[in-house]
Formats: sequence, C-alpha cells, structure tokens
Amino acid sequence: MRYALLVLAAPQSSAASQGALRFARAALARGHTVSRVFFYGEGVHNATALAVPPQDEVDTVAQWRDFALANGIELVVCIAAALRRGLLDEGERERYERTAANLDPAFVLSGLGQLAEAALESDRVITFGG
Amino acid sequence: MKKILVVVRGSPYGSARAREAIDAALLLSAFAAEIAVLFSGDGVWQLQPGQQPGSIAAQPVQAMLGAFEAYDITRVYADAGALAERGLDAGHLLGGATALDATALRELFVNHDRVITL
Repeated sequence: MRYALLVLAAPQSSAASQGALRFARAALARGHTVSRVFFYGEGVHNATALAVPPQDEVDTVAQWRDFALANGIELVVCIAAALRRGLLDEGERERYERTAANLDPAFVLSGLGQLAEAALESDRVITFGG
Repeated sequence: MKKILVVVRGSPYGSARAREAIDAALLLSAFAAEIAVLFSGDGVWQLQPGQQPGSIAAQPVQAMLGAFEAYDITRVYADAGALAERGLDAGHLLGGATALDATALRELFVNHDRVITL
C-alpha cells in the first residue's frame, strides 16, 4: 500500500505528530510505501528549526528530520499555512523582509497542490491531528 | 483523474481550521475528476445560517461556501447524525448542503477514490 500522510497538529500540543511518525515507521517496516508527509494547519509547527523541547521530552522535529533523511521521504509544508504562522524559509524571509528564517532544512515549503498530487499518487491519505 | 471526497470537521470560528479546510477543498477541486465535500463533527456548525461573525472580527464562512459554486463543487453534504447530536436543523443548511444518514454516508465514502480528512 502506498500512503500519503497529512499532519494537522503541532508537535508540542498534541500526540498526533508522534502518532504520524509511528505510523510511518510501522508502514515502512511492513513493506508499505510512504510517498510524502504533508504538514497543514497547526501541523506546520513540526517544521520549526527553533523549538527547544525540555530534555526529558522527545524532540519530534529532530525525529521527523532523521526519518526523512533515513528513508528519502519528502516533508512538505503548506506555504500559506506556514506564512500565517510565522514559519519561513530563507526565500520567504527575503520576500517579506522578516528578520529571520526558521524552517528546518529537512522540510520544504510548497503549495497545497503537493497534497493533491500525493493523494492522487497514493492509495490512502491518513490524517493525524485536529 | 480521481473522485475525491474532502471531509471537513472544524467549527467555523474557534481556529483557522475551518477556513484552511475550505481553502484545501477549493484547491483540490482542480485536481479531481469529481469532488464532494462532507461536513461532519463540529464541521456542521459551518453550515448554520444567520451567522454574524463581524462582531468578533471574523470573516463569515458564508463567503467561502459561496465560492464552492465557482469551483464547480456542487456535491456538498452534512452528516445528519452530527446535526442531530447538536440539535441543528437539517432543513436549513448553507452551501446547498444535503444531510446524509449513516447508510448514505457509507455509500459516499465507498464511491470515492480518495478521502482527505481535514
């Protein structure tokens, strides 16, 4: 089975992002494919490079980064949802003349079309959070 | 091209969720052979007429639901069970929504190639 994942919740305020990670790992372990993970709504906060979780809590952002690098899976963040929540890559920082960029390099900003494309190319879209 | 069902679950003004779900539905319509939108859970609050969100400086969802027609989204549904649980009238829904019972909902899900829950 080919899955696309849609994450709608921030890592700090919900268990949904961890659930998505566990699902993705389990799917791969059983021979399924994860075509893309799309972060939308509050889910865009998963892509911040600036969160500093307490030492006794899991670092979900780092786990997404490691997961994506190890498995070559795209982590796509909706650009409109990201901009309104103050999550910018270097290009957007320049365009909107903000003082800093904070998108973790393991993630890319793109449009909702990427969600549509992932949905059409996959057998299932699984939503986490919200 | 596939048949896509978008399920909208967020209430209209408590968060950006409802607005972003409608944004996504409008965009997804361009990628689907056919699209349907189902309002379920607290999402059914979006379909209530007579909303006056100006008093809380929010934009009315009516304007967004009005865009459905321009995007050729003509199949708009509400979960009758969710309406009943909230004491809402299935006979007066915005966006031209039709209330569906559990059996009809099952068919709706089965008849679409992809379900995207927002």
